[in-house]
Amino acid sequence: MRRFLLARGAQALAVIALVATLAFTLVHLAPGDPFAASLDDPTNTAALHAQQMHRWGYDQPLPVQYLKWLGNLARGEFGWSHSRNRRVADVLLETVPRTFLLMGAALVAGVLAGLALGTWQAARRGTPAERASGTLATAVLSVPEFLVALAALALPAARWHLFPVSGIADPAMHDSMSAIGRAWDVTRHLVLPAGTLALLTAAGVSRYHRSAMLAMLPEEFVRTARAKGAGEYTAVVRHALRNALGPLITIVGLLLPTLFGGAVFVETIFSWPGVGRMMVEAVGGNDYPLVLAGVLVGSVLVVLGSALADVLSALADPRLRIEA
Amino acid sequence: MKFAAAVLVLFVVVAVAAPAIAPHDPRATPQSETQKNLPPSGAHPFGTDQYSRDVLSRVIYGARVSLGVAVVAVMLALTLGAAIGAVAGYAGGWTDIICMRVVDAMLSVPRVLLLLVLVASTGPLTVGGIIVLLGCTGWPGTSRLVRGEVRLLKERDYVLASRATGTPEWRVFVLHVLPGLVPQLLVTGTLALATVIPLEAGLSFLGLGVQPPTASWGNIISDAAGRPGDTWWVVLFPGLAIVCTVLAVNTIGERLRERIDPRGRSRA
Amino acid sequence: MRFHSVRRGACVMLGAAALLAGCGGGDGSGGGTVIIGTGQDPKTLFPPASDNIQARVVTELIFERLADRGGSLNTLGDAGFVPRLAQRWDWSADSLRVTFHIDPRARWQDGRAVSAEDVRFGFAVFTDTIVGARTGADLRAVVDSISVGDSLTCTVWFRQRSPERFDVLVTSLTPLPAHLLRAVRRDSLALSGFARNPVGNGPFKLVNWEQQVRLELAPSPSYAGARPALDRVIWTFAPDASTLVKQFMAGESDFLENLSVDDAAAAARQPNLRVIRLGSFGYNFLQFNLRDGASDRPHPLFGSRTLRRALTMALDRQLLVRSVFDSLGRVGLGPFVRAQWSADTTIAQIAFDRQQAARLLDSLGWHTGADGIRTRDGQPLAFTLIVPTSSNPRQSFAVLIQEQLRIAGVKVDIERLDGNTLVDRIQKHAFEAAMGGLAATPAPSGVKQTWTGAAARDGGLNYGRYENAAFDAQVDSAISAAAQASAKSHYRAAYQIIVDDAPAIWLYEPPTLDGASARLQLGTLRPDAWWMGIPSWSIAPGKRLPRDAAPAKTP
Repeated sequence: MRRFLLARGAQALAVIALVATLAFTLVHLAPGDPFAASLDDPTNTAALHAQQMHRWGYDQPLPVQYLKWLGNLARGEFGWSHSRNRRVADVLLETVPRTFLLMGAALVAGVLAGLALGTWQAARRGTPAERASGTLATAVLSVPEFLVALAALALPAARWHLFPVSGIADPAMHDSMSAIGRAWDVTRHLVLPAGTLALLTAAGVSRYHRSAMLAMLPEEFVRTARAKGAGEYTAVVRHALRNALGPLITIVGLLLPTLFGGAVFVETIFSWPGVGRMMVEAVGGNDYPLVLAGVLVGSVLVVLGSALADVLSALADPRLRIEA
Repeated sequence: MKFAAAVLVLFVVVAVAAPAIAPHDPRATPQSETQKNLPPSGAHPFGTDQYSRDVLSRVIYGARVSLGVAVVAVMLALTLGAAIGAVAGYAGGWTDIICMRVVDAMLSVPRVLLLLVLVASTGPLTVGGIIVLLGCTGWPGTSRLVRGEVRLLKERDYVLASRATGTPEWRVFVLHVLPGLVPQLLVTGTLALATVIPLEAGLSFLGLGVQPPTASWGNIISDAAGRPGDTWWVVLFPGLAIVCTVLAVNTIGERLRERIDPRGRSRA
Repeated sequence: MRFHSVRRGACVMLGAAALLAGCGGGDGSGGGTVIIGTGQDPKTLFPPASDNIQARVVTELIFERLADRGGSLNTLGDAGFVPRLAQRWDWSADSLRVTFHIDPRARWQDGRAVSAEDVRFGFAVFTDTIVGARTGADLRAVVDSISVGDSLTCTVWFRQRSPERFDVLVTSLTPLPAHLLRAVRRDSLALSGFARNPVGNGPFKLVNWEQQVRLELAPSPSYAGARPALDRVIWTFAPDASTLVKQFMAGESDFLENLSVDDAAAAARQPNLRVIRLGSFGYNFLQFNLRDGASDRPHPLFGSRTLRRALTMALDRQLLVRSVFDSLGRVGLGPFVRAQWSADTTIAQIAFDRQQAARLLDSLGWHTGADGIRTRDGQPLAFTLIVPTSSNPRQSFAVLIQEQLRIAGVKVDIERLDGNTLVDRIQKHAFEAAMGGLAATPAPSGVKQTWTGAAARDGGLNYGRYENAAFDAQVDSAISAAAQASAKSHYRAAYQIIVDDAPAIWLYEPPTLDGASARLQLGTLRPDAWWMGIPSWSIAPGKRLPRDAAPAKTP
């Protein structure tokens, strides 16, 4: 077991290192030097520019820069964001937790809803209601995230005033609320963006889960349970569900990249100040250090998430330990 | 399935025949008076947008762009993926390991982020550039699939027999291995279409994809995203177009998969 | 006050929560909270580096200058000015020196008294080329030096008796706390902690700033003048103009500048909102970069005066303005606004004439190809136009212009950027053409900072780098003219030269429509700087919201 953990961990690190290298190469091969876009000084003389390049080490050969950058990363120093006039590390410290909150809430809500729906669909298989819900789920999956987000923004927020239009917290009152009040304030702002993502997650999860449940149903132990006289629905829920949970963890791991991608759109539309919105603004502002940092964050999230999923699966069922 | 196929064919026909069908020039803004933000009417069945352009015509021409970009990008991704996967599978050893690690790396970055980074490096792109971008970020999944199949098939009898007769390896691949892969590639490609169409729309919506005035379903929506309540027709119709197309493609892809590959090996 | 029934429920809940937290419950005491929506984050609050409008807005509330323009906006002499940091001032007999007497009660927000040395230090920083302050060149041109008498007296030595020298001095120079900044290296001032946590001497102090999210000001306890009525002023940032409008319509913000005509109409229909129309001081234009990027080579297209004139001729500007603003906008006439005293509507403009434009382009060798786009020696007549996403009118104009120019055989690619990025790119000259806009000041001498050759070189705002010595000479004559009539005629001559040279296509004076919640009592808004009225804003007694009751966060 420990060897598996180590192997999986090493694999995750290798992938992250590779992503970092690829991203670094990509960004530094872009035309123009990344630092030229950063100088605030309108009287940008050549001497000043050279001075700044030297100060930040951009005049050194690429491999040297690369090693320095890795070294800095290890110390937690991500560079300077020129479009925001502060350290990249500080920007990340602010934005990453907000995205985690958004994705976490969406994941929890979406997985629970998808589980419930998939289970219900498996229990009611063949009925018109189940077929209709299946088509509905596929239809929901066919709508791009930004459209769902726009609809969510237009109606419940802008028209019916049920939820705030944008942001993460009430700008005026958040600081003076009690702890409960603050939690409620963020929750109110979280509902629509997380709900949009959760809707799509739920549709996807329910489809996988339904097939997984259906695959489990003919199994011996389910039949035994039914023979013992337990209600059919109870048999499905208890026994099939437990065994169908394994693939679920893997599926959540597979869903992470898509969820993050969806978060980019949702954060932009709802002005949720997380990593996704930061990336879009950084790309528009040619803020290369920030763009690099965003890519790293995204891929670390995904790699760790899928590694975690693998580990949990392996813990649950040793038969599922897959060879890399 | 038949219904889905019919829907898809309809969209393709509309896209191809756009110049003949569209009632107005999709970029024309009136020269003498303003007709902006008109709701759907007889003269403009889908209404007009804030620049007084006919939305129906823009959606029709948008079909050309959105569908065209998606189809070509998917074909590019399939070709690249098959080529790289085949090379990795045949060569084995370090080539294989490096290729697959690169695949892992690319798959671990959310595709939208990858596209954002590439757009950051290149700046705004032409339609061709977007196709290349989408194609070059979509190959990892296919390559993994092809590599797996190639490794399995490497040892099959007919392959060994071909090699014994002295035929070059690549001919063996093209003549014997590739035909076996086509059904799965078809399924993968169809399902990939269902991902790429919304992806292109999303990019264009963010302003990083197809640039105006060329109409793509995504950037038609972004023009009116500001007030979807007031000018709902500019958001609804292209949105419906996207949903219908993706739904049709998804349905076809699912049915194909059930027939060709029920064991789910083609889920890339 | 009308509440949507759902919001009433929410208010009750929030009111209950506030009570539970031991806060006051909206009983009418306290000044209230105002939320202002805006698209651009200030990026820095260091006054010399405050290039974008939002940075100016906030720093002008945190830092107080020697004097301010009064309501009459008379920029000649000193009669139209209101004492602020300086209680009074005396002129020397030859009118080349003025001595300011600083209010002895004035304090920096860290408690230290404001002294004359702070004025001199501020002058040194603003005029330092390493710092590169936007107003530095102007200040240097008008003021020779500042000397310190005792701790509350300083004397400004002018170079000449230009009529607007007092206006330039007072609006370009912000005194800075010498005791805090003297030890900081000049080239790191804009990046220093002070830029994010400024210590000012004005009616407001910075309480909280979450970049790109919100910025909060509260009345400064150390301010010697009248305490502002409001308890808190909060700016919220959203990169998208449409989100800002949605926020405002939903009542989540109280004030929003620059509403579009459609949005203003929608706001006017709501009983709890009102629309304020201010005299316009902004003018917008399509700016050409006359050089190739940041180099000194002329731009392959826009280096040619004839080409620029042809492009101007190809645009029906009246139709453009009508399409976007209905009847509320006005076509731009040049680098000035009709509200300035130097404005002249009789200047000969480049008329809309498609045929003439076509003839000019043909004469330059640009011939129409099969796809309708003109080419010359294999190169298409094409350029990229950058547009900020934070401004809907500019985006609308860009699209309409693109289409009109396509008819003339010109291919325009539109690149949409967020507001901060656009400013960045323009400042680095990394553009070909941009949808630009300037806030003109009541002092027409501002044109020296924005369109003259000096402004192209010394950190001014002439990012397109238009240079014409004749224009510069007329502007200088206008600024130094003793009598207003003579100044006007020089300005007219200058404007005619620059309109003929077409370094930009003058597009529109936007109708300045601001939206305000009906609960705000605003007084009169100064057309050139509405934010200077914030210290006197208040909330109408019967119209409080729960957010007014929450006390200011103690830093």
